[in-house]
Amino acid sequence: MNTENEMNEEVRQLLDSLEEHGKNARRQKELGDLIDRLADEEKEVAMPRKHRTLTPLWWVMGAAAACLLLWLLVKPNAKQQPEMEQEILVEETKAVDSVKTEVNDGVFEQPVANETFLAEETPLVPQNAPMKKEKPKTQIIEKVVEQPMLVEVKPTEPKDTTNIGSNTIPTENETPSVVQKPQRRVIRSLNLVCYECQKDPEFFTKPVMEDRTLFGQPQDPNMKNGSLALEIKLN
Amino acid sequence: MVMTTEEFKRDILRLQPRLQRTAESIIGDADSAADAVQEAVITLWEQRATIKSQDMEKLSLTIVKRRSIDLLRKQKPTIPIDTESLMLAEPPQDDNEERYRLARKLVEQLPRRQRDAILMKYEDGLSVEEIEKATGMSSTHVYATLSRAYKSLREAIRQYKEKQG
Repeated sequence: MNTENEMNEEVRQLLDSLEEHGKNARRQKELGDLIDRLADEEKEVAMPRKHRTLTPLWWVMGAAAACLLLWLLVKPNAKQQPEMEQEILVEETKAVDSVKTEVNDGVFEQPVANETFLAEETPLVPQNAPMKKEKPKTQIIEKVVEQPMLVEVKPTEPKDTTNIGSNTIPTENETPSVVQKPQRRVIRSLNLVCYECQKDPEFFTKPVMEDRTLFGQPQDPNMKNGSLALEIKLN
Repeated sequence: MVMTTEEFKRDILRLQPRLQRTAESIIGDADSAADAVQEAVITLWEQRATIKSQDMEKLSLTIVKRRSIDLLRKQKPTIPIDTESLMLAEPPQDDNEERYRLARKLVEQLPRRQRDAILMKYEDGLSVEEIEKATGMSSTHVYATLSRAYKSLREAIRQYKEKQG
């Protein structure tokens, strides 16, 4: 009986050692898994950290570089701008164009500020420049336009209207920006002169309304072929 | 130089039986000891940048002892804990290895079904139901096979002792 018990005890110890070894093997496996999980977690945490720290830095650096570039681009222009504008104004006063108007007696040449021409030649002014700085330019132009002129305007029947049209009214082939606006100036100046003439009735005669238009309105006899014939005489 | 994951894992798995025995000798419970070892491994992992490979054993034993004492305190024992003696105590020797080798040798001599049943139940820690599913045997057949395996082992031990004289 004792031998049987001893044998049973021996078997139990052997089986316990088997069990213990098995448990240890499972614990080792759990520890291995734990270490792998810790390593994976560390990798997952480490990677976004890098991005989190680097990405904002790059954004800030990029934004700072862009601001610096903008400042470098704008700053010199801002300094040069007043000088450039002075130069342009000087050119404006000099750049006076003339529009030839062929009339009965000859060719009449009228000085006109080439406003449009200058306006097109001034893209040197940066787009960033404030709009206020354009004001002095227009004032100068007004000064040039308002040069004293003495012109007598007498509406008479034109001999050849096409002659005037070809000279005064530019065709589309001509650069409209260069020619049309000075033409407008001419008419404007003429209006000014006419206004002056109204003060002195000797130099001003009203157009006679003889005929009527198709619509029953009184028609100016000087209006033919849709154009106004004017006789301009130098006083 | 920081230890790589593989180096750390290799050292820990080599030390695991000793750490487990140390924790178990302090706490007295295998499962709580395993918890203490796991906590110690996590602490070691966090500090591995400053740990040299040669200091790993000493440091890991110290941490396991501290964790085990902490766990023991959480259990609120009635007997006062002698922390100093526990910390200075040498870990118990591994006398299981020799017995395990003998058990494995005797189990390998059993018939295939008995051997499988014994290894599944004791080494793999499977229940009888799990052995049923794994082997396709009925529970009665599993119990009968295990009973026959115990008898065979007794006979094997007797023959082994006779050989040893």
